[in-house]
Amino acid sequence: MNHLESLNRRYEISARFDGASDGTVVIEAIPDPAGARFDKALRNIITSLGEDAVSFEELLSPAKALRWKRLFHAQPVTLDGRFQVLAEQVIERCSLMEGALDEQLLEELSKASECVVDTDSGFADELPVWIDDVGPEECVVVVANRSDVIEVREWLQRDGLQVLTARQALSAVLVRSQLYVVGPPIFYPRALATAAVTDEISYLVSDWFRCRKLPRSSFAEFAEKAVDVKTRVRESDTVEVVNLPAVEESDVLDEYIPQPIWGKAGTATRGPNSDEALARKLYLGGGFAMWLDDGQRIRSLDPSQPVGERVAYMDVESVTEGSFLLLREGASERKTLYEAALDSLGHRAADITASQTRWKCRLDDRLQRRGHRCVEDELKAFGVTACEQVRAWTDPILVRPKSKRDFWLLLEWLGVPVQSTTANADMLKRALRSESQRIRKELEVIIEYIDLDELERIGYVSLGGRNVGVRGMCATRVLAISHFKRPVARSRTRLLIKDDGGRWLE
Amino acid sequence: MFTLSEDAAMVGVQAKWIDHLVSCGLRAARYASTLDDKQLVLALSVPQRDYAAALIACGWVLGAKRPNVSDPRRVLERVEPGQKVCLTDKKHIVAAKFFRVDTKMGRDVLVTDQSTWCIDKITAINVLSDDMEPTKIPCCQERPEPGSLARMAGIDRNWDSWLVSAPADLAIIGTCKWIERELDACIFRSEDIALDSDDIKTVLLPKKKGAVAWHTRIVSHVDRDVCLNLPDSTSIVILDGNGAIKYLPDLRSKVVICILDRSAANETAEESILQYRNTRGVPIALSEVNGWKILPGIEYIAYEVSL
Repeated sequence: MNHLESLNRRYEISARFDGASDGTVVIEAIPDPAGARFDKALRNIITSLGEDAVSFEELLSPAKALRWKRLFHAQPVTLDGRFQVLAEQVIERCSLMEGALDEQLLEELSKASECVVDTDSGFADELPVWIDDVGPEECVVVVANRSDVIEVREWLQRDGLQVLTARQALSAVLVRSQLYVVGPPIFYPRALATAAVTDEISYLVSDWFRCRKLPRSSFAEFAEKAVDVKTRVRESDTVEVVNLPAVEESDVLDEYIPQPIWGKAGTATRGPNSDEALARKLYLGGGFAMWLDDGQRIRSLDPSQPVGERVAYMDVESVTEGSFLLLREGASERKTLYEAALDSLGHRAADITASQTRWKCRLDDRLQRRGHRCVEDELKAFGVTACEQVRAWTDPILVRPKSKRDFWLLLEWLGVPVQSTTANADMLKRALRSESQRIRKELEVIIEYIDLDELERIGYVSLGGRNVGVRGMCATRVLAISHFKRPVARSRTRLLIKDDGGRWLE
Repeated sequence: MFTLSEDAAMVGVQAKWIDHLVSCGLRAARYASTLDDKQLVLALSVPQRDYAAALIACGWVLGAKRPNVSDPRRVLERVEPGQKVCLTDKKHIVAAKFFRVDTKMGRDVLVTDQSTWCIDKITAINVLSDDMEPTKIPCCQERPEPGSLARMAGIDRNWDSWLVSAPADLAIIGTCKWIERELDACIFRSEDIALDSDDIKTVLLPKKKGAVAWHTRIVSHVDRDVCLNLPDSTSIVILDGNGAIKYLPDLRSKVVICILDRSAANETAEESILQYRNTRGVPIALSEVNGWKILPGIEYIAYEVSL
């Protein structure tokens, strides 16, 4: 089957699934008493902690990670070393917390951890049988991540069987009849069902996890005609529904997603000073963290793109868990780019720096003397539209306000020569653009030779570039993004920091 | 019904979605002609992005205005020395700087910075506007033959006029490598099976190094400056795939078509489309637009935005 025929098959399957009344997608609810016990023990602890949960992240973070892993675990537990490590961590934390928490609850969580790490989930019995019934060469098994791909493949050892991640399955050319997805549909891309690659799909879901819905898509909700795929749940006979939460609400669902240890970072309440910006904390692959402010775009890498079109800029609001960012150790992109651009301007650099410093100093001086609110009001009256940004304009490495008109008006208001200052700023901006292009091309060349599979599996790779602008750069996956924002010194934003708060996410 | 094949040697595929995507481009072209100071945004969520942009672009060409180029001698009467022209004869298509009309061995000839051309052999000529200029002048390439799509669009009868005056009004932003490969695909109707030159690029005429006549700009989504500074003559922009959709709010063309690739699910791209709709758009029900069909397996959102 050539590429076009496989594309055609995909359109045909999508059209057949769309609106089919028979529930083409099956959710197999599989008994997992050990998992159910652990889930219940953990939920009891979270309920008892209430608002105090934040102070017990050292226990809750590995415990949630263990529960999460259980949801996506088909292979025998003994094959997964990390599962064992997580369980040991939970048991150790339980003993350390003695006295700080209800002893019975802790003891039950500790015992449930021992139990979960000694007992395979029900998937381990069912999945091999189902695969053999259909025929391994007709099946695809989708698992949560690349490490699971390796373990499940080694465990099942069936010739012709394909074990893939969701992303791999969605982009593969497949002519197979059955897709088995290990884990609840809500945590997989909706496209597995709405842009299906096989004739039939079954999700394997532990019976204690009650949400069996496909994930929502905001586009589908507003679409004139959304692709409507119906699911059919096959409940196991042995299900014992005791105190199971109605995990339909999104906040309860969120509770199932592993969380890093945010620590005290989320508790600050004051506003930013003039040399600070509000920033979110990001945990990144490789044991790093970063404070990301709302400012300019950030350099990103898309491994699914072909050579030459992988390195791009991403708007800050587009950065999500799973995005790959290209960052530097020791210096931010902006600063490095700014310095490289000035270097490229040769003898004109001194004049440009002087001209930039002049208007920024004058603006800073007015801000100091009159206060930012007064300055904002005056600029507004003067016709400057983005006047609320005025404090950010004093940042030495920000070339000029986004709008040219705002810049002219600002310079006029400051009493600075408009023509020469804008000409200098424009020249600097052009130099920045061309340096940025040069670095982008250089990064593309470097990335052509790195192992992208390794990057997807581990979530971090050092690029090893030597030239100015690319030295010390790495590609790293975003593991978590904080909901809170905190004031952070501008010079500290977008810097890689060693921080192992995200260790249970990797 | 169209047949699409990866290249002339491959077995083709006939399917509803192929016809449907071509007709989306055609309908968008017709709809655009009714718009005044407004932009049509049409977002299609497809199972996989492949070929969707190319097929929609084919439809746009089907709906394009037929060329209206005068007799070469009449055009030459109006051309000033130094102006850039595009001309065809039976074998070539050329872009060059016009110098003068001269007589050589009793025949009228056109003298350009590229070569000298016998005026009787020129089949079509047109003055190039800045927007239509090829990457390098002078340049010359072999004249392509019209294929099935050109016949369907009715441009095969004035093929040479089309070549020299094709409106450079179509842009596709996305992953260049993928789009360029897809333009090598062939599209034809079963009754035109005997025709050669059915590759999509013969009609879409992508702008690239060495191409004299061009109709379609292919821009990489990583080339931010070009994406944000498309010329005003661009009437339609196809944002092919999730990486390109971020440019939606910055475009001023009459039509923007977003291809959402479900196989590379990306909430941010969906949000961009919805946010633009919520802040600037007036929703349109496609099912109420004359002749517009809805196909299972594809999701649609359409709205108008004041320009």
